[in-house]
Amino acid sequence: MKAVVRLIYTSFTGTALLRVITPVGLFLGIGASALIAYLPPLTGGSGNSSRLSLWQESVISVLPVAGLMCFVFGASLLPALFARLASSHYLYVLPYGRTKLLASAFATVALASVFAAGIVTMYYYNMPFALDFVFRRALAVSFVTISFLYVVLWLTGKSGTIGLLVGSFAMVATLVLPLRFIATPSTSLAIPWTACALLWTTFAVSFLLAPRLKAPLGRLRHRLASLTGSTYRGGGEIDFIIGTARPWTLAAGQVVPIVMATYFMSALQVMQTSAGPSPWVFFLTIISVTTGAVASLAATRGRALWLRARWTRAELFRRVENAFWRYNCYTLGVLLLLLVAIGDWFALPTRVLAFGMGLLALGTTLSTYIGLIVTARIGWRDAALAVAAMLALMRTAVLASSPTTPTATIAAFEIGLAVLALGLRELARHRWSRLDWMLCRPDLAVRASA
Amino acid sequence: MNSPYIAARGLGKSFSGKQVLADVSFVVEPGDVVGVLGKNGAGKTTLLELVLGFTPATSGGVQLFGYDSYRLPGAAKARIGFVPQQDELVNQLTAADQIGVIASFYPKWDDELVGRLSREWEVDLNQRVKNMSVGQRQKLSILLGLGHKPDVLILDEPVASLDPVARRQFLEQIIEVAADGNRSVVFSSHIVSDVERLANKIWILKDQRMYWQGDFDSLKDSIVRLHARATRPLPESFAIPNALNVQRNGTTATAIVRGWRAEMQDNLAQQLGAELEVEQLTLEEIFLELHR
Repeated sequence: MKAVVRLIYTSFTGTALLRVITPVGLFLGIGASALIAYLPPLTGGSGNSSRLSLWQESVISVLPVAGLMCFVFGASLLPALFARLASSHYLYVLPYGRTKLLASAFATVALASVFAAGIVTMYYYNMPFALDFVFRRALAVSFVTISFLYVVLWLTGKSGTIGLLVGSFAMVATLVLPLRFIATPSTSLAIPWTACALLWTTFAVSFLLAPRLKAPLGRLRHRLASLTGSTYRGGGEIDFIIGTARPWTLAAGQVVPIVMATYFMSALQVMQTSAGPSPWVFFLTIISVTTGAVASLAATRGRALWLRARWTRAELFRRVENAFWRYNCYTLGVLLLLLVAIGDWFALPTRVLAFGMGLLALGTTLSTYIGLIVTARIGWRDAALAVAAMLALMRTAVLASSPTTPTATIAAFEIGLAVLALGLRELARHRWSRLDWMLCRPDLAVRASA
Repeated sequence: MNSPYIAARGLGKSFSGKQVLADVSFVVEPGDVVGVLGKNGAGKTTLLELVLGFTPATSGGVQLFGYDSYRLPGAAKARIGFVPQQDELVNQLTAADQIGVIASFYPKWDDELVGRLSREWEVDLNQRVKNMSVGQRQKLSILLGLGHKPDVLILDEPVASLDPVARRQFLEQIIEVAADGNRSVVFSSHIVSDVERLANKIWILKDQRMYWQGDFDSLKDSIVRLHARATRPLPESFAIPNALNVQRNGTTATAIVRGWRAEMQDNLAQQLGAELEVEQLTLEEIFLELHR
């Protein structure tokens, strides 16, 4: 029990940043929820009389969501902590290590989910709703969403800093989804609970049995490796070293989550709600930025190329950039095909598909150049720039899928993103021309994932 | 007599059909400090991982505190300390948080010991693991292995990245652990002088097998360098039993002999018609001669 509590505590407070974010999240979430409960129902500009101005109501209604995001983001160390301990030898020698680690992960997700469900329920405190009903719905959806998000974080976090950043963003942003499901009370809870049970059961069983599965899986991997051969081929040294040698892995791999997401959104009738295809386009846009995780390691890995080839730094950048665009062609191609095919199946408006295509191309481009500007330890300015770019991208995704947004507005947003991408490319080119490998040495974790 | 902490019989391991360890048997009693020596790829890490139950044996098995090491219960694990070859720390945490996380798994944790050692070894507990040097990280790993005062401490090349001062401090600490008399240490190292200074038992792995095991004095007595000096040129058929390596040069010869016993000297001198001088070897020389 002591270890489980300690692991949960560390997940929420393990770094200086988290020690600020978590209490702020708690304070904002609980404080603002109490305020909502105390005040008369917010009218939200509906025309009904209210003692509060519209901006006051807006601030009050946004604060709990901000608190919720802070609190959930506060546990973003969980995937890194879990991944490190799970892959280490410590887990074999720590008493009941595997069980305690799994229990702590489950409890952390449960804590974040209960907090999220509580916040959502408080929104309905002064309204004629059965609060226990709202809480159950919110809990089901937030539990499955947060579970998936932490898994996403774990996976993307293994590929580098930008991956972690993107994963963190995905986690925070997707938290708005529960609100949509709550807003449509007729949808069944069976799907999120089943998904949750399946996810956790599969995860727990495979995690607890990992030592037993290690040997057969190792043999299987060995056999597969002997079938597929080496990723290295003559003339493909750049791809081999910077990690773009297997474009089909990511290109084909992204089909599974997209089809799953589409299925769930279809089953939950999200496509038919007032939100329309927004969550789906939003999700596809998030997937389109995964290339950034690989690109963020390019500078570090490029050292091996620099040492062996007679290229200037500018030439090295040009070749690495080309390699990434070859890689992106596969992933983006599959994404565009899925967008058009699935969009056509659901008879989505042509405008959504047209702007969606541009959006996915922009997502891939932005994330690639955000990755390529990582030539040293990520500072606050780079992090802020990356988050701002991603926020702009997500905002455009929401606007592009809304039928009420004027076409000119969406076009302006997409042009703005394209300009941003060009700017990032210039920044990346500039940084690579002065690349200092003393400043972008791989730390142990990155070296391991490389 | 105390029952052994570790007992292995006929231990073997192969990966994808490649044998990496074959037919290894040994016992570790309370109070033993075992130094494991072997060239790269000799099977040292595999041997330690089999002892800790990280991987199942292909043949034979290891008993740790009387349990099959591959199926160790939690209570038995609480009596083991392990320091891996490469640290497995969480980069995002501070050293203090890292210690706090690992300590929380154990029913007993000696904060005083860890605090004292961190001061002596100059490990800044407030520093983030990510910002620590390789040596600092290794020191922290060792602290994590020692903090719960394990009965069996297993270290896989623990001093490879430590400077000479830190290495000496580490060795002193291991001696302190071993002085308890009820605890055992098994460690592998390429720094033979450290093994010589610390271990009271030596295991030498060669060609995936346990080539030699026993206490250090027996090893030194058993493998010696013989210098033969004759008045006439030594014959072509000159041969020394159990010689690992013979160099002949006219009237003199030098040989490394395994399984040497003092009573053999007069007999052999008479047989060869030469004056014999026996030279004891350092552990490093023994190791090099065995792998020549």
